[in-house]
Amino acid sequence: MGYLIDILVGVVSAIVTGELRAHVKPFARWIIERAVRRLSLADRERFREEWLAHLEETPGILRKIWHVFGCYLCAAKLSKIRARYSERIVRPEKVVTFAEWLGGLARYYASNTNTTRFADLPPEELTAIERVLTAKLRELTEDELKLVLRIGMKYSPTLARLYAHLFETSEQPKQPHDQQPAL
Amino acid sequence: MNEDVRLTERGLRVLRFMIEEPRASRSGAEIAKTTKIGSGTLYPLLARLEAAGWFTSEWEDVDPHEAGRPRRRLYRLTGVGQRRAREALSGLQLGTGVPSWAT
Repeated sequence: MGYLIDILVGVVSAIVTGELRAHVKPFARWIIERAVRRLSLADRERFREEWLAHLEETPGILRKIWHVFGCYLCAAKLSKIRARYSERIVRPEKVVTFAEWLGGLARYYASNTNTTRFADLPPEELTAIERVLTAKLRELTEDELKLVLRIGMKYSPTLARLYAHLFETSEQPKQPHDQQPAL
Repeated sequence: MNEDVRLTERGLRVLRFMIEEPRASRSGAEIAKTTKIGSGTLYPLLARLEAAGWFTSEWEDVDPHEAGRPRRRLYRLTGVGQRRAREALSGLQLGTGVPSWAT
């Protein structure tokens, strides 16, 4: 009877270990994804890749779990440290330059077309502008991005929607279609 | 951006490891493995050292698609970091692992 129990325990533990091995990686990736969401927008991509690389280098199920829970628990602290850092490196001139560029773009369209609002532009031109804007927005830190989008809201409901989407807020400009941009 | 950092025993352990080869770049996993510091403590510590200008970091030069794995973020001591690390470690006689009376 004893040896039957031993065999049973062996089989069950082999199954459990196999299941754990099969599921640990997706589970660990899921935890990292949750951890990354606790970080600021600007830091998410960096730490997602960095922590996933660390996970790849970490042997063993328990160590992997230990690593990802560590990442999850430190994310809030890390976010505060990085925020303090980014506050110090925010360069207002970069924001001002971008705001001026945005204003210049609006002025260009106001003087060269019959429209003064981005929302009135033909869809293909709007798409081209949004592409350039997106590329430029990626260069900014989260604080800079917030500032720029706040400025951009006056000109474009698309930017207002982007702001609301990125920063999960209901903050929207009041009736943007009825407002004329301050050109 | 060069600032003083309040160093704990774990911070000193990281500095001690990094100063062994001051010009070498190390990933978080390597540092964690050698210093036996968990990710939950290590990454905030690295962020503070980086923010203070003691460390700098960059992505390793590999294509993740070709390598079949994510890129590692590699940390390296800056010139200021090397000087500060030596100062901090010499104060505790931990720098080289050799007691000061033996040198």
